[in-house]
Amino acid sequence: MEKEEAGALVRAAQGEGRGPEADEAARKAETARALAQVLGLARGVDEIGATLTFTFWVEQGALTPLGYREESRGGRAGRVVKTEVLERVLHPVFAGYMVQRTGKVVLTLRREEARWAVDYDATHQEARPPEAKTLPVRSRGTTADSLLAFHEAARKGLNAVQVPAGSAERVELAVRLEDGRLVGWELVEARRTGEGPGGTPWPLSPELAGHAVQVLLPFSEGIGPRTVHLVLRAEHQLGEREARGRVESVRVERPPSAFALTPERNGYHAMHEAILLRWREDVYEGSAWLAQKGVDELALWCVGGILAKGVGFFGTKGLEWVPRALSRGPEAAAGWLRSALKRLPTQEKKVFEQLWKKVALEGEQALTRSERQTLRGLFVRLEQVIQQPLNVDQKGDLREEARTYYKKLYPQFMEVLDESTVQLPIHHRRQLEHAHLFPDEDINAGENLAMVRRYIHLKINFLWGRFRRARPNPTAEEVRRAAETIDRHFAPWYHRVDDPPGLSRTAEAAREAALLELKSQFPGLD
Amino acid sequence: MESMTLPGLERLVEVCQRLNLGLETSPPAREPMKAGSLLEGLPFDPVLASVYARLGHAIFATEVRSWTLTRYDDQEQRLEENNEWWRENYWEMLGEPVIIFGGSTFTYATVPSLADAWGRQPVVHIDVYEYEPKVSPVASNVDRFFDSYSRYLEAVVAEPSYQESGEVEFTFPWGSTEILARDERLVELMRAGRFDSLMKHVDETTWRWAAKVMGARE
Repeated sequence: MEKEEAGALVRAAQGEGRGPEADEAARKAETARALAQVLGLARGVDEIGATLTFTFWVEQGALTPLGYREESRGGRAGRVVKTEVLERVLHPVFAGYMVQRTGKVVLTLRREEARWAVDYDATHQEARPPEAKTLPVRSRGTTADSLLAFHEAARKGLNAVQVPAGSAERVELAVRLEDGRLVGWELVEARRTGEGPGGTPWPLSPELAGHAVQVLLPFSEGIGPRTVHLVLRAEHQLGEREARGRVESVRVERPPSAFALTPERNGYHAMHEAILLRWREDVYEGSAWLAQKGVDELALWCVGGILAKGVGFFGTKGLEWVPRALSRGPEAAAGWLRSALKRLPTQEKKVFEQLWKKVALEGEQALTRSERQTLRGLFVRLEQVIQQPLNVDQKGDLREEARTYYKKLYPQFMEVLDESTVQLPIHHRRQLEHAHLFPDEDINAGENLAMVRRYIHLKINFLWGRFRRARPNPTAEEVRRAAETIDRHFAPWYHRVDDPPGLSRTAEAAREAALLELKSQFPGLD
Repeated sequence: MESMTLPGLERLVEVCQRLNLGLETSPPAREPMKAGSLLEGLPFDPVLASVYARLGHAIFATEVRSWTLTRYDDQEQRLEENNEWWRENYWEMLGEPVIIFGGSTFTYATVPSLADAWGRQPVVHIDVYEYEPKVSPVASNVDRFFDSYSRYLEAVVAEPSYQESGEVEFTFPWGSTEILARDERLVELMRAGRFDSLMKHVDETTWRWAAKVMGARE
């Protein structure tokens, strides 16, 4: 595939079925969701002096929450502020101010006697965090499944926490997310912050679990793997049958630096996000959309979708060649994978593609334990087969693919290649029979292919024949040197249907010169 | 002889059209090659002669795994040029003369020395990518080759992976042993070892493939 094709695909995918109207609808949906979340959290806060701080990453109208904090001074309750009143104040901030910016925006709400004072600040110069969206999502809110999963996890996760009579506790939770999926929920710490008379410990109130979910849900809109830390304060009032409290703060812990977003991985990130966008806007549309893609593009999307998670992706841990091959750019990795998969039996290849697609669309955590083991096993198989010589069937298939691909790369030769099949072979500069010596390279990569005329191919073949006789089991380095020598002498004839103009020597002379050079490089070659 | 029926060719054309696999053809030469006329000193296959009485050239299945019937029409007699070059460069290595008539990545040829009682020559697939030409038998005659290729294309297209993403799951001839095995005369010739001398450069995988065509179980 051409360079930059991944970028073009991402742009096309973003645009597909999404004209300016759809984009506008998506931006409005982003604003509406974020606004509803802020209003929802402000609704129960009446104490004068309380402040709510929301941090967002804003980009092209997409809003990703980065943090949240609620501070209370224990002041007296102010007068009721109607939600509509606050909405009238906040709407222009979201719809007008935020959508036009790119970067971190901090929104602060401070409760006064009869209103919320609103302040916002976008002066923070920071790099985009890896979980930030760059595309607005046209969805009205969390799906019922997702909501239930979070509630269930909160209920179970907070069940373990009990507050002794009259005491206060600080509870810290770590909630692991991958894209929008809840992966795990852990109690990090429950620390006593106030001692009461003791006695029967009391459970946390269901309202506190509800508040935790309410605060947490917006964070599920981010991208990739991350851990959201929640700090809760709970206090038991003597005489009550449960401990009440609030979520005090939320922060996002990003994956270790090996997984962090780097400029060269931006392509993957963007591809993953484009896939996710389809998925989030409509689950069924998402998978159907991916399934319609041609085989080259499908491989590219799947590679992009998975590598967004980092090359240290679980399935490839401990392997050598597979991760190395996948750590190239999206096009190179997808091309390599397409060629490498040809070495697996059809059935294994199908299972691999099915699981790979699932990971790309739904995330690694969507795999069951046995699916994960299967995928891991297939990566191990792939690692083995790419180090074995190709058989005649695999070579045949790769040659057919090479010819098809070459026509795509050089459309100007398409007609002549169809017409003059016998005269114009596609030459592999590094030969297919040595492909296993370069397991992390795509033998069918564009740069390894050259159309030559049959008589040139015959001369090149003659040289490889001599090399093969002298070095039946060559090293990768020997093959590399031989290929370079042959290239040096025959490159003028590559990608040509006629003789190169102004050439001072014949192909026969080039063959003789190359043979001499090979003889001097490889003792024993005659 | 030129008016012989060609059910295999008709089937291949029909499959290409019905499944939208793409087909290009051009009208025949005013004076096409005749059955038994000499090409590089060899008798021209009668089935090919009937084919060239209908078509000047053809590209079958341009959208999938296409192959081209070498042009021989009033515009160009490439069939002759190709065979002359082929004789000079490959006959010696092959150890037996063949007439090449088309191909794509690989080359298809008829084998005059193995003609049947009607003069119909079997078809072989030749790979010349690795210096010594590697030969695999694929049909008992040219029309039967068209028939087998049409069945190969049908099988490729029937695969879910092709329907979903255009991926071709198996190759011709290596992935098509069941189709080739239906050509009884081909199997007979193979069992009798008639292709063995042509197949002298092939590897073990190809011999295993040949055994499967001949009915061996894996």
